[in-house]
Amino acid sequence: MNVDGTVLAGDVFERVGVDEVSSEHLEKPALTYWADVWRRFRQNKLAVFGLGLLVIIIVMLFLGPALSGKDYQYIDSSIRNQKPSAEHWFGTDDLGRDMFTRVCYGGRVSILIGLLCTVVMIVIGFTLGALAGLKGGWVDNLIMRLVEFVGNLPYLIIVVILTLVMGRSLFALVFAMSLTSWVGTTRMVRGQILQLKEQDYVEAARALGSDTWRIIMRHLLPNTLGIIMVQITMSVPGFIFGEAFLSYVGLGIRPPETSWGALASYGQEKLMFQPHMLFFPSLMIVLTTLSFHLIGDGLSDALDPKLRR
Amino acid sequence: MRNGQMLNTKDLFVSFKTYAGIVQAVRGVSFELEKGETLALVGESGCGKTVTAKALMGLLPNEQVEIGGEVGFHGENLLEYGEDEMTKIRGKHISMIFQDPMTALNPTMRIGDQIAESIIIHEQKTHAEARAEALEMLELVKIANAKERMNQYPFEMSGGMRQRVMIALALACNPEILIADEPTTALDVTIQAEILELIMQLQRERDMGVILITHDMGVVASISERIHVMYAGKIVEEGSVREVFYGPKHPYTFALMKSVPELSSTKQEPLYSIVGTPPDLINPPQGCPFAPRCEFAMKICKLEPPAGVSCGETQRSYCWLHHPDADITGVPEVLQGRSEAHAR
Repeated sequence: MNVDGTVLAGDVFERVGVDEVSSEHLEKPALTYWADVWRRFRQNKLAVFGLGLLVIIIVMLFLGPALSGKDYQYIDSSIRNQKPSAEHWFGTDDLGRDMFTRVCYGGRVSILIGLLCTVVMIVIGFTLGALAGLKGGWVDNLIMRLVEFVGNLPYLIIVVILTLVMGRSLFALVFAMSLTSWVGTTRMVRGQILQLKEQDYVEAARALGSDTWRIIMRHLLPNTLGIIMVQITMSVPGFIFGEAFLSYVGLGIRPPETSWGALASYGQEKLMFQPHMLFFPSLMIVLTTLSFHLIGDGLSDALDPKLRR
Repeated sequence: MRNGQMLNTKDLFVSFKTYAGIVQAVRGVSFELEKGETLALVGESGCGKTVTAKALMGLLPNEQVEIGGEVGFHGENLLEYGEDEMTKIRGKHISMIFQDPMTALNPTMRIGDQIAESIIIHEQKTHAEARAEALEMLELVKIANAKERMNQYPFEMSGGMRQRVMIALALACNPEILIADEPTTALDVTIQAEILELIMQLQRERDMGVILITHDMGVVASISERIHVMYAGKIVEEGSVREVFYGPKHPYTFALMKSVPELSSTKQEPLYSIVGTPPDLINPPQGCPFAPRCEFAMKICKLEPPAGVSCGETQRSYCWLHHPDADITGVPEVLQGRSEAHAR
């Protein structure tokens, strides 16, 4: 009889020797990079809340018009200036158009502009920044002088001139906003690359025959992904704001197309009597911006390769 | 023994332009490497060992650096190659293992993909084929559970294992020459022996030429055949390991050997060390660079650099003591008696 009462049967002391399989057993399964990022992202409650909020907003933007069953351009003078109700969830505007449907359509435009501008900004910014940082010398000099030149151009004047020349279209707006936005990304990526290129693994990659392009794509990009993802999530709301501002001052989307900025601009005129016309577009801008910021914050922690354990 | 020269470095010069002035890091280094041979470049920190290796591989930055001399490889001078041509040489023909396995692997890539990478670059294989080869390489460097390890990231491994991965990485494309830059410095002693054994075994199997860069005499003794002792950017003595270890002919090599602690020694005395520090390479001394720290220095040593003197089958030493007129009173016996060699 053993101390705790179990009976030791006859053969438990038989020698079995080294167990080849379990002596080399790996403790934990290999997590993929993204699985690990997701695991750490989930631990951040606020970030998950932000992600949930964003998903809800996007679902609303795409399913909303179908749910409400209204057309965003349909004018019905008999239901002008209605307060929010069961029939018109966000009320109606002064032409009798359903605000909820308009907010959904406007949101699509706003988020599309935010994403497009960010993509353009990241692609240009990363490519130039990586080249400047990695190549150094005259390439670096040329790119950085360009960065200084573009960075010092007055943004608003450029946008005004461009929209005058190109007309007020979605493309013109994206082009104008992207034209000067990549400067910060370039600077940031260059700084990061300058630091990363001194890392042994970059030199090791060179010693094993990787060319510049491969080093950028395989070694530098994944290691700068953390800051790039954060930049993405932080700049989408920035561009949404930018678009809202331009539409607000009358340089953005042209009616009957609409965006949150255009809706807010329109609603501002009616603020005294129809506050809901300003309230709902603004609320959506605030919620979207908030959710992107929360996600960005969570991602910056989750993506940092140095924090992986 | 001499079964075909692979790499032939002649009079290699490397200088860096810095704010303080021009640093002459390597000043006329020549050596030859044969198939299946291990050549050790030995010397203290900052003597130009690593710079020599990087110059061979074309890894030095183009700007602020001047390289002279010749690096002959299959009858061509690698120093004349452009970046694109060097990219094809690196990894495929000449490969390199780095000192610190902790930082020489990309933290965001699975090790299987990192090994597959160079196979994809040089052998135009598909990803799947390359991964299969990478798995074989991992097994070759004796990593247990290679299949699972393929999908792991460097941070999930120990230093010794990462160095094995580095070796697998360097040897994936079956290079003719492997440059090992202090491959065991960052590892603890028991792992060091395993890694050296692994490098030796793979070298024998593949008949590679290995250039071993180290400051560890023990490592040199255990795996190399020939040794080049570097000091202040110059080679001061060269020869087979046997010759140099048992009969160092240069006072610097002699002092180096003397400063290695002996396990069998029972004497109660402080460990020998060389006085002073290596010279500043911005203004390297005119004569023998070791002269200021050399116990046996003569006037001539500070005026003119000594020529190489053959003093054995393959041994050469660059020292004025070998001159027939040299004052050898008080000079240890090993270093003496080279005067006849000089005459030879």
